[in-house]
Amino acid sequence: MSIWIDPESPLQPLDRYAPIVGDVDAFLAATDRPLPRVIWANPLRDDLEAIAASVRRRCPEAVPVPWRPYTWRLPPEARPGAWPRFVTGDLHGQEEAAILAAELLDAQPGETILDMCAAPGGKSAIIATAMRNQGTLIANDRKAGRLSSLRRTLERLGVTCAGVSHSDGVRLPEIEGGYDRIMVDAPCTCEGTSRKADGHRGGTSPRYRNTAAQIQVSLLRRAIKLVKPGGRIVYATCTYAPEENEAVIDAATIAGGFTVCPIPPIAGVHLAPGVTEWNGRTYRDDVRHAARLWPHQNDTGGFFAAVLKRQDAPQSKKADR
Amino acid sequence: MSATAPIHPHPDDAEIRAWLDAHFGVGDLPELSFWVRTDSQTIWAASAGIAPPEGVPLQSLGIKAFRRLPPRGKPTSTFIALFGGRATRNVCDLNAAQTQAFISGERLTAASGLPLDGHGYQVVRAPWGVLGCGEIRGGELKSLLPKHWLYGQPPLDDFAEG
Repeated sequence: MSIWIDPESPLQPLDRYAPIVGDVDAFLAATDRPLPRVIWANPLRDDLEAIAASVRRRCPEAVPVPWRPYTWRLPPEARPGAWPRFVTGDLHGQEEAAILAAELLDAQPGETILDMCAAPGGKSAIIATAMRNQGTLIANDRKAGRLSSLRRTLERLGVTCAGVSHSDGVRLPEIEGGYDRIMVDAPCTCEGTSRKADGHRGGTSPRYRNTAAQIQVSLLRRAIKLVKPGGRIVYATCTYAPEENEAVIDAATIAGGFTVCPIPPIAGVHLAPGVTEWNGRTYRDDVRHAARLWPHQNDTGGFFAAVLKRQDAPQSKKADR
Repeated sequence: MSATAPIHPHPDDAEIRAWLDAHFGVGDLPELSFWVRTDSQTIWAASAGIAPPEGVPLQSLGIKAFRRLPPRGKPTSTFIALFGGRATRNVCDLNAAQTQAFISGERLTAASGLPLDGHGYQVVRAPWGVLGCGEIRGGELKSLLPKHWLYGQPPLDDFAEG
């Protein structure tokens, strides 16, 4: 992961989150531990039991994820990418926190959905399988170099309800009627990926964080413009910084018309609430309904996700009569 | 951002379906629709009910099915995976030993015990599921699977079992 470092501003290490993390020593220790691999059986295939049997045979240490069917945690050293059923698209590997964020979109068959920052395609795949391949998913990404990985993921898994778009998310056009749901898995400083082999470690420059936050606000504002009345947006990042999470929601929704929805409890997952205060700033009160995944509370990477619902269109006077 | 040419329903939709049914015996494939961009011949297979919103430029829709119209165009392995389980013609059902040999890039002849009674592009199936595309030509079954299956790193595990 390439992170631009401003030579003039000192890097901010992870202990800056001590005021909001609870047990800071446990948190810092957890950020260094290797991340378990998580794989899921492709629900678009019709022989899920056979796929499950194959997972158990190839990796007897596989442990089912309690909150999701046909999903397993594997030891960090497992290499499921070399398994035949992975290659043919019966299985996919994805971090548990990322699966959870995509599931929060609650995609339904027949809907029109946008995944604004889709590459490399894991969350799009979760969304498309929830749609049962029915409806239309626009899987967009700004970076040309990442589109092939996005298409490869979707094709391998047999996703036929998605179109791949190459556009800056903030320039995506409005569509007639608006999108039913939009996933904004925004580019971020990736502090929550420190447990991955290729993850980000060693602190983050404040200037880089500011740039990221500006992009995030623009993307979320665009999503707010594109979603239909009554529609849902999931805003997610893989970073801990309130500046890139709660503050982004606060800034992007300043014009009103959106609520941050409570997330129902998820079996075996500790969802910490969003923070309403950070570094002397306060945010809209309902950002506490957002979910933070801390690596010392769950054996996952660090993640933030919030479910935003656009208010229904006001009924016209004619309809009232 | 590069300009993207519009994508629209394929004008030869009926011809594509007729070839697929005649060659693989898969019926009319009502769950799929076929699309093409105005600047290329690549045929994309998408869900039947897909409705790309107007004004959003799309690079692709669904799964790449062929680079050009069949019979000249080869079906991709990911496209074959969509219907290969139901195919009744031009299917090669490999046993465990044949699967491993095929995945390793070997060309299978009648000596391997495989009845080579099809012709042209084949749905190749392992005992545990569809692998993808092969071709029978000159008395041999040749792999047309994605090349990274063969040469990718790390090397793939044993394919004889799923």
